[in-house]
Amino acid sequence: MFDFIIIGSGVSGARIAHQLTQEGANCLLLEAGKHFKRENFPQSEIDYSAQMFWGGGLELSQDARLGFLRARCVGGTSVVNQALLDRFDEDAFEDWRFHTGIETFTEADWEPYYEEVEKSLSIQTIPIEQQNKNAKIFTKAFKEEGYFWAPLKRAQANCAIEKGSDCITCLGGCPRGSKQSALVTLIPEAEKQGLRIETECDVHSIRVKKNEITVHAFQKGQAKEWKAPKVALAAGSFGNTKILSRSKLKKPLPALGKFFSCHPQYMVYGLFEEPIDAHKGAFQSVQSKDKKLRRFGFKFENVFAPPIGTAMLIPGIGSNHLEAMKKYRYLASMEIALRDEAVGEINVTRSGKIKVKKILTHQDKQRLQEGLATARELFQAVGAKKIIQGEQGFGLHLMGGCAIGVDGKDSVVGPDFQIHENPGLYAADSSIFPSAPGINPSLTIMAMSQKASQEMLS
Amino acid sequence: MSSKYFSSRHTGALNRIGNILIPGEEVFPSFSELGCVEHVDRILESMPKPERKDLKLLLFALSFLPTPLLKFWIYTIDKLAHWPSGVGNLARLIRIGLKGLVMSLYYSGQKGSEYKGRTPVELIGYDAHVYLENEKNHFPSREDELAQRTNFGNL
Repeated sequence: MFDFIIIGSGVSGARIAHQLTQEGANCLLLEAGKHFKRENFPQSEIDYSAQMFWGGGLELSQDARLGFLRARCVGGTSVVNQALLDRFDEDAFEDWRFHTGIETFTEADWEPYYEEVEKSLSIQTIPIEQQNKNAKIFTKAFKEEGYFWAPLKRAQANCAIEKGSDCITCLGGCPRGSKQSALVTLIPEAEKQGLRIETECDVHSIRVKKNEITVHAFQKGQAKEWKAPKVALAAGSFGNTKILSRSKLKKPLPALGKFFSCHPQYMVYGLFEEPIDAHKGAFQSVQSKDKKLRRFGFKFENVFAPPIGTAMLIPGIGSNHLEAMKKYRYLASMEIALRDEAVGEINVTRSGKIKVKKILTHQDKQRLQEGLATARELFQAVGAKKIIQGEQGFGLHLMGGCAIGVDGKDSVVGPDFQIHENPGLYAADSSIFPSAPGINPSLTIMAMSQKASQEMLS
Repeated sequence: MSSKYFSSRHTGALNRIGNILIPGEEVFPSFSELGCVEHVDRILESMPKPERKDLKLLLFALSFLPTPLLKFWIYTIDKLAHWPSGVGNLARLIRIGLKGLVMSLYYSGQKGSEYKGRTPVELIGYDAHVYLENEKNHFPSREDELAQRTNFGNL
């Protein structure tokens, strides 16, 4: 019997496991994916997409208009993302107060948790002299059009960009160990304190009894069962919803699977006369920081994709497509991320298949059109000779499904991070987001997990 | 080539679909010339079973279409993918599935045993890498990492 079981080893699960083990608790961490290390990350885009993500790389919404990327490995998303850490602003918290009825969603209340998390990581920005050409185009365009931008805050240390490191490689895990993923920060420290990790372990369901929660799982096809008085669900929006649905908790938790949002992202490319080499150096270093754009409900980040990702996004068939790909080095790009309405729904079929109904609302579509028009203006302002709109929308920030709130009718998790009517069962990851903040969610997930750990220990 | 999951009928259909999506020109090989289908199991291995089954069924059905008809079908799917729902949903699903498979193989940096030229990844100039020093000096201690923390202030 463990003191705690944590399901999912990503941004939330790893932090909870770390906090609990530091306090001397006997913890078990269950992870569906493999335990890659920086020495053995899959080397190429084709391999890491297939091996480190659910669905063999990509999962789709029911109408196939959005593709979802969901990491499946020890360390979770923190291994494959760009480690962008932003605090929520008052606008995001105000929205959460409105949706949840929880008055402690304020900047002041969350300050100590943010601070504690930030202290535990190396957080850096890319200095101007290290910005790559894609970033320089981005900032120049923003200046020309009168918008404000800011450097992205990234959890990283010693990336050696000045020595020629190209961060785009780290989308499949950072072989330098520079990215401050849970894999190189929290998990090794927790392991030293006795954390046990079980990998390739697909949790099927849980059964909650007084003072005892049983976790049913399949590990490499073998049925397994573990027990603990307290369990943290940290398998993300899709994972948590799936586990709770299969545990027959859909009926007592009517809001389960609801309020899904994902900051739908769309790439826009600008084709230039001279090589941009957007894949070189720090390929993601700046973002919009503009009150007007925030009010409009979208943001921009300068980002690029490796060849397969780019080929998937570039529209066209045959020669048209190849023509654009031949100009790979001449493409600049920026990404529009929408602050979408949380009206999506995650359902789980009897066979366990996840079905995500996520349709852009009228407001989302307006925001997208506005964002695309702004992106075109930005690229035109800096002399792009052609503008190409990415063919496929995608969601990287999968939020909701187990929304936090006071009322059990429209939420799944209570203010103390316990699932309503299920004492001892907790969640503090992105699945508890009641709405889309329009801000990178990682730092807030970490802060919530920090706070939830204290609740679990109390 | 031998695939654990695909028969020669499946790979034949995939090569023909690949050639429609990527016919090749100048120095760029066509999909089938590159021979990248030899590496298809790298994708299929991790694909969920039901999806792999659907894909095999689709390729099997498409394998009976003559190439001009197959081309017409692919262009029709691409057009239908812009429809709002119903047929549009299915068309988008098929388009992403087939495009994903073809592009993942063509731009994987891999080539078949017969192909002697440069890969498309090399040809488009993708050369990303990470600088790795001597293992000993390379990885900073936890204290060094924290010391490097930038004071970013209120941006």
